[in-house]
Amino acid sequence: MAFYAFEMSEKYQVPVLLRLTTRLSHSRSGVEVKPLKNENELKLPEDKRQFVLLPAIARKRYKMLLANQEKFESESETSPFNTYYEGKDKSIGIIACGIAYNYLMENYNDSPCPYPVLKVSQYPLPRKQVEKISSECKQLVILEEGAPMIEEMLKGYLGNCLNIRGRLDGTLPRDGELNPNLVLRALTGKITEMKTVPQIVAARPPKFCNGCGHIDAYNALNEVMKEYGDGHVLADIGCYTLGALPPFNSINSCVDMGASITMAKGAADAGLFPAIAVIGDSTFTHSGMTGLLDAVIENTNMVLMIMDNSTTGMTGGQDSHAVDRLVSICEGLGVNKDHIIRVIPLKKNHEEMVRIIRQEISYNGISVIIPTRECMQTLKRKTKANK
Amino acid sequence: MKKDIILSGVGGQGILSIATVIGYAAIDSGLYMKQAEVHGMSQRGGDVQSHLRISSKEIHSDLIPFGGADIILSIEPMESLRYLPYLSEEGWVITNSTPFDNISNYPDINAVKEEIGKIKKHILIDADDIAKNIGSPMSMNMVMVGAASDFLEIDFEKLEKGIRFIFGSKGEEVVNKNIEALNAGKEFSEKFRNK
Repeated sequence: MAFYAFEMSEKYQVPVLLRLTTRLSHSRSGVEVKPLKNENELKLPEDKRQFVLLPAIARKRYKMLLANQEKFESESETSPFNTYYEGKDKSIGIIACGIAYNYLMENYNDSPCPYPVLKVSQYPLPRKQVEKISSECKQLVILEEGAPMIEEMLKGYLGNCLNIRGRLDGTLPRDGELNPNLVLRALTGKITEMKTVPQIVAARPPKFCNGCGHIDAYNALNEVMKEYGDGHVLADIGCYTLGALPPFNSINSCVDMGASITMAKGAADAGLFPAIAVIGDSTFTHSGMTGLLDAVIENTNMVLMIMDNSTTGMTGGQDSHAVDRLVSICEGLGVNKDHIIRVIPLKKNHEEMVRIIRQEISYNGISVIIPTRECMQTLKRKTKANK
Repeated sequence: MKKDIILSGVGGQGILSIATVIGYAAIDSGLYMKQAEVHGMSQRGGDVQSHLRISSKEIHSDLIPFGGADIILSIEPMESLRYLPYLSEEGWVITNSTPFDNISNYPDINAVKEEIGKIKKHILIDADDIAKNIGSPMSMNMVMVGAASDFLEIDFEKLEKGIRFIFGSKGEEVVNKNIEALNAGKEFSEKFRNK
């Protein structure tokens, strides 16, 4: 499909998005491979200003995009990824999108599906096929993973256009992932009988690895924050986000990469004291630095903790751009040298860490504390490799 | 031929290696294969599962339907119970009996074994112990593949080849220990069923 998307992108000179849903992204299978496409010749585009999105140019390009809509629709109507399967029982017509088609067909392994089915995997919707299925069937059932986009489109704002069932009327759950059993229930009302989970089975949430430095850093932070209560620590996305769960309950936010710093700054500006930001070393270099510069310029009264495990732990230990550069980056952005402090997050350093966090909270300005200790996973791998 | 297998355990125990060995063997045998899994932060010390589907016919869903799994292959006893809603009426639970206790409220292990005992078709195997006995504690997961091997309808040699595929880069000794673990698991499983 990616192959086809590249061809289409070249043909119409537009970006083509490959829409992945959670399950598709977490799933693997044997695939047939084609010979690789040759790389395009390196040359300037015919319209040398196509990527100069000044309003005058952007307006022109938008007209071109609009002019292409009919072609996109006819591509959809003839696409090998949009297929119409005839069915004798016209009481229901099924529009199944992407992976939802697989869940539908899972229920018809032994006998063919009796209903007409339109499988949609290329957009915009193939108008001719949609018109055909809606005119020949008494009602439509729309199976879509994620948001009910097509269902809303076909139903219309007033909801009175067609007899349509799906996520919006409760035929399928309004949220959450689909599966073969939910699709079966939507079509036949049949509820799968299944065994229950014995009561003794306890929840096992993910947690920090044994020996992880984040544990010691959060223990120290928690001890200091006891004095101030909840609602002072703005954090980010990485392994350290597990600090939001028991037993730590250390952090109060995780929104997007870098938001720990900008949210803490905003909170400090609005009068929150103390305002603490917690971010990982690799997230910091990805998109935390700009926020820190802003805090430096305004000498915001906040404490930034950069949890330096010298890797990108959450995604499997890729190199971090921050290695050996964190202090010089902070200095370069203008943080006062006396308030950039490295600590080693170990149990034996607990009192020292508590003292430093307290001291930097009491400093009226921007401080950066950097708890530094390598990720246990990468350390294990390196030790093994060196044997 | 169709085998729907739920693999379960705790993050870091090695269920993805199990999936890779069986998946490789399946594809090498000309079968269709689909596998859905959890990874990243969500697997650190938490419960993990993978849906592994093998079939001689094209496979539709990436997820095994509830009530449809032929085998729950678990490398942790309590985790084998968590996925019972997936097990089919005639399905097998094949599980390691050594608990991985990283939570404060882990239930009494005897109660866990009792629940497993209630499942009509089950194999309880101390894979940790077997792996230790052959001098390769890390190969516990391959003991479990061995324990399930008679149910997979895949040639045993293909599983050995799968092991060679994933452990080959670690040297001949690691490959041989894992193949030994595979055989030991198979042997135990046969004895358990003939008891």
